[in-house]
Amino acid sequence: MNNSNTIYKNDRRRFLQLMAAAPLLSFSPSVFAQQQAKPQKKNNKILLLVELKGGNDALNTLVPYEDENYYRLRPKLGIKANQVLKLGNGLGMNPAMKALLPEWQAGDMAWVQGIGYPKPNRSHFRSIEIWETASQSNQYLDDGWVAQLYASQASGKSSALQGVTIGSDAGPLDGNHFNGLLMQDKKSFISLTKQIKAVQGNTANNALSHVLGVQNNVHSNAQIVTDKLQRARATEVTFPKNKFGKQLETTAQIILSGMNVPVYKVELGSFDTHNNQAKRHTKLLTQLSEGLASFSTTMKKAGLWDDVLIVTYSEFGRRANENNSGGTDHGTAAAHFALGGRVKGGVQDGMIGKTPSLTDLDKNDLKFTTDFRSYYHTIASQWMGVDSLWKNQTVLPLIHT
Amino acid sequence: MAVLTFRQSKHLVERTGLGPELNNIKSFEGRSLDVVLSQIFTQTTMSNVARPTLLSPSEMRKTKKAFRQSGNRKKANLLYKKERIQLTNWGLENLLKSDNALHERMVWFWHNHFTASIKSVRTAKWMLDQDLSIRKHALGNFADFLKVMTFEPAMLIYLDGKSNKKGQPNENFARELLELFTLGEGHYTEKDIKEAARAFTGWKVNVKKGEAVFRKKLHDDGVKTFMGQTGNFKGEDILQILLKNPRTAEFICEKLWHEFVSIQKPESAVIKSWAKSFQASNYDISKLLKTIFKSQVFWDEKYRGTLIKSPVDLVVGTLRTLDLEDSDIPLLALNRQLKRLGQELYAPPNVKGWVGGKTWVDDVTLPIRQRFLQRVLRGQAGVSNKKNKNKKMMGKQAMESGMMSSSTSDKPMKVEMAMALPKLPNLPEKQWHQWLLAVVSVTHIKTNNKRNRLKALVLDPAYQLK
Repeated sequence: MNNSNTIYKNDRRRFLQLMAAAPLLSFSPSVFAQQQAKPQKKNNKILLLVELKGGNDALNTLVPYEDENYYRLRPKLGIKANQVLKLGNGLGMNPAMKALLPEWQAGDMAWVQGIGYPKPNRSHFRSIEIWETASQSNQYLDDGWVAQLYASQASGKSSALQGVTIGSDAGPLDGNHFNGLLMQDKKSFISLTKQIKAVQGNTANNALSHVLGVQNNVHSNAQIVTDKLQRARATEVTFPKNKFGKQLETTAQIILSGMNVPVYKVELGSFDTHNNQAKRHTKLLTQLSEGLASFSTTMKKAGLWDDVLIVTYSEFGRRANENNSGGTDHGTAAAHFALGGRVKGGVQDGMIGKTPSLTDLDKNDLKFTTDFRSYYHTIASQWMGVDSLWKNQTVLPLIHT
Repeated sequence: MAVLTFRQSKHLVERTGLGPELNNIKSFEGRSLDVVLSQIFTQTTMSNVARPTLLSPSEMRKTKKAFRQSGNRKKANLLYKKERIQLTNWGLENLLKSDNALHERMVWFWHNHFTASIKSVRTAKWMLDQDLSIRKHALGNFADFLKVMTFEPAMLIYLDGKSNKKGQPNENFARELLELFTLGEGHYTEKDIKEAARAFTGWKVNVKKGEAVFRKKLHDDGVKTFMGQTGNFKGEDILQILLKNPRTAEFICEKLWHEFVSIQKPESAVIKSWAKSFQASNYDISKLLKTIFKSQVFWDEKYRGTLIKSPVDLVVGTLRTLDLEDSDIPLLALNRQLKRLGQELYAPPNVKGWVGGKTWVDDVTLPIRQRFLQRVLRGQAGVSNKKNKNKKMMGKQAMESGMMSSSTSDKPMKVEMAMALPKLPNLPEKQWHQWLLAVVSVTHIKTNNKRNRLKALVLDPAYQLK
């Protein structure tokens, strides 16, 4: 439990105050008895991580439509110049992202270009591990980078819920000393719990019984949240009726319920478009944009937009050239975007970092121009207001301070 | 039984091998158990992964001495770590690539019986030597095996055998010999341990020669009384007495019950029967295994799915089952997973080895297991142009179906670093369930999309069992 009597540096104390605002007895019945959507306390920063699973093709997301090399490398897959949503400086968004164009225009969306790391790994398994744990490419760390940040701030595990992942794995939020919960999605989580109990009560198989018992234990903290969610009011804004939309809706409901959880993670995929990319990528970017648009509208209506920061990430970008199967293969550096009321975005400030070269390639892949740890360093120091673990990295001009 | 059904074939392949590999399941389906077993046991190929080049014990000693004298202890530690990684990666690569999965399984069964840890032994070459001895005897003769393991340098180092000398007996090895390698707890006295320790005095490890040596001067050649027998026993004599004791065979059979049948308590009549044949055959391991694989209990429905997958089963078994042994996941990353899940190769937690069974799954490891499976399923179906001579059936289909990706013609054909799921097999829905699960799924899985079905089955709690 965070002990406010413990002496910390100034900024750490501020962080702890944010944490202390979270109901310490999160699981006491009285908190959950509240039926109304209680507004999130002002100034409690919220971070929403959006994982693009499988390696998003950033070149076709933030399109360098004035670079002839782009069309030389992608004669079939290249997004036509007259179709991109122009952002300025020869860069434009894939038209499937039109639902987010208003955010750019309002100055609430920024792009960080060429994010990657030295000695990149092109295996899904290993590269996502590197991104999630902020390790070097030859280093192996166990905890996610967000979990590491929290672990370094306090001793012992917080009794207040610190993060919620709605999806398949906690990634950056994974850590023994981080109080996080993971649920696949509201509906299947509830049915899984029921199914487990049914089988457990009915089997002579000790091994199965043991596994299910452990699974139930792991579930038990998530159950408290889902019970609350079952009684939550539907959001005013309509979210898209797809998996991603539901994750965002659930996230919004948790935020609006006043549980004061600071970090969330959702996921969309698979972006691993080795073949048939045109259709699949369009579909995914549409889901991504429409989902996030609904989410930001919800946050704006609740007066929380200034307290929200949304960032995307992925295990890698994709190769500069298209392949022979109408797709692209695993690559390296990629652009990602951030959304939020205090993001330094739009045409004035919103294109951060250096556009990777399409001629100076590293084995057919883009050379990174922004180390992903400076992305995390910026989020940690400028947004979360905590001691960053990557102080040797540059701070990106991403957030209005 | 007459001939094996799909489901029976899967049971045999999964329990005796590393994961329910479909090409083996299909190959055994429709044939008689006897024929299949004789095929499994006449397969003599062992993995041909190139051995790591490790410093000989005397070179290691010289090098470490040089580092220490130049004040560079850090370098000595880095050298240890480097060789440890080489050894561990090699062990894992064998698990992933060997066509003789039963042999690999037995190698690690015996590593868990005749335990030693690189953390104490420190010189990787000793561990490799022990590993090679284990590979040699894993399916052979247990009597010979016991003798070899007793005098293996890694063992002499790990259990202080090399410090055991006349007048100053060290009981460590003798105790573990009786408790863990032969009789099991409760079947001997403290006096027996002391007397056995005396019998084993005199053994040393000659670093220059890289082998164990017997020094008569350091051996206590007096009279000992061990397990009711008296004589000027040497170590070998103790082993003979232990092998004559029927309890030894029973102890091994109990362990094999937990390896191949169930986490539940062994049926004592069955154990006695197996043990009797084992001893009568003069400790023929292959023969014993054949007996086990033909036994009623091995095939009994009540024991289906009552084994919990070890980390090796989960990690290696899953990759082999999904035909991803050649995937681009670094061996180091996989070994790291095994470590997090509690089964670090060449480094059992203590001399008892890995307890296994229910201990593999707890509040900490279950989420890590699930996350590993999620990560494995992360890739998109379709692309792998890694050429492999031993390409198994499924993977070959993927290549032949033209799902290879290549860059434009003027660029060299680059090996695709994709974690590709091969073309998903063409099986009736019911067989999908039988292929991947040993018992009925816990969740309701009803989808026509093969990828979703694969995911749902692998992530079902029942997948944790075999």
